[in-house]
Amino acid sequence: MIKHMHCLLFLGWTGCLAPEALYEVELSGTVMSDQSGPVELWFMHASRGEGVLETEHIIFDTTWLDSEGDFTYTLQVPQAGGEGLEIYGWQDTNEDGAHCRPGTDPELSGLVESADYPSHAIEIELELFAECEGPESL
Amino acid sequence: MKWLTAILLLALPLQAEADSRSKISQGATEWTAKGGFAWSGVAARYGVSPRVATLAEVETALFVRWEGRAGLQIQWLDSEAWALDTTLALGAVRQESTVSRQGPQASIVVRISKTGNVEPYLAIHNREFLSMTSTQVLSEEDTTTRWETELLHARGGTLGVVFPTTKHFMVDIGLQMGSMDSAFAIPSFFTAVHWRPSK
Repeated sequence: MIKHMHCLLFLGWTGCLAPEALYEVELSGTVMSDQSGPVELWFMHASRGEGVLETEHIIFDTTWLDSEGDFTYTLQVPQAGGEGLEIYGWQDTNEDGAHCRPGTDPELSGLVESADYPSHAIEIELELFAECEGPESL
Repeated sequence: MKWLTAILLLALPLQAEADSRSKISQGATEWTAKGGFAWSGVAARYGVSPRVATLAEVETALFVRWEGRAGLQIQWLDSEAWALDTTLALGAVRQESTVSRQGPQASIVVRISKTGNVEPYLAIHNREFLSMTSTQVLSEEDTTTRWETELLHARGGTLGVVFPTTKHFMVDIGLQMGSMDSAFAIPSFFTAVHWRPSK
């Protein structure tokens, strides 16, 4: 029996886990701002979990744009990571790599949630209007 | 600690089978059940020759991560004072949680023990795990699947003691320390029961 147990052991290990599914989105749009400078975009799920465990603004990807204005970006949204699609942006006006470092001038930020998601082609308009705000405050 | 002392005192007069705790003689079988935090499992050994035994084992960490392996245990030394053996095994890992993992694993364990009725031991292990993850990209045109692999290791050691409780049963208490998936892991402890039915 022991001799055959070795073979039996591996029968249970032949199955594969389900692959992580990524939903590809061709994102295009415009970042509007009164200031100028590079813009960092955060791509987030609007929420994840339920009840007391519900968490908002789950970041799954980021990218930098050279400046405000029109942009396109290919986004791969994890299907198991949460619900909805939000795009947050902040403008690095003084190009120090940090958002509103103490002692520096205020930098603008904004948040938009796509009503079109899920769709493989989404267009957004992101207005940077709030000074030194993170996504949880917008 | 009182119960541990009591068990040890009860165990001391007993004499188990002629083999040392780690060695299993040709044709003999040993069944093991292990429970603890975070690892539990079952195992079986079968002596195929005076110095070699086959081994099959399934372990689980809190029923989230499962590891199964089969291999050979080779006894290098079995003197009145010391026993030394090496276990080589191949198997697989499957973990379903926030971080899911799957893939084959190769394992080597070197164990040295002070032979006697109560047998303390040190086992050093190195397990190399080839983590395989697949990603499916759902684009407008088609669906593509890509595989990624990552070599992860679990290295560490176990300090334990084995002692007989009856002729056919032995108790094994141990503390395991080391890494898991190439990262620090909290120490785990276990109590195992080895059963060696008569041939």
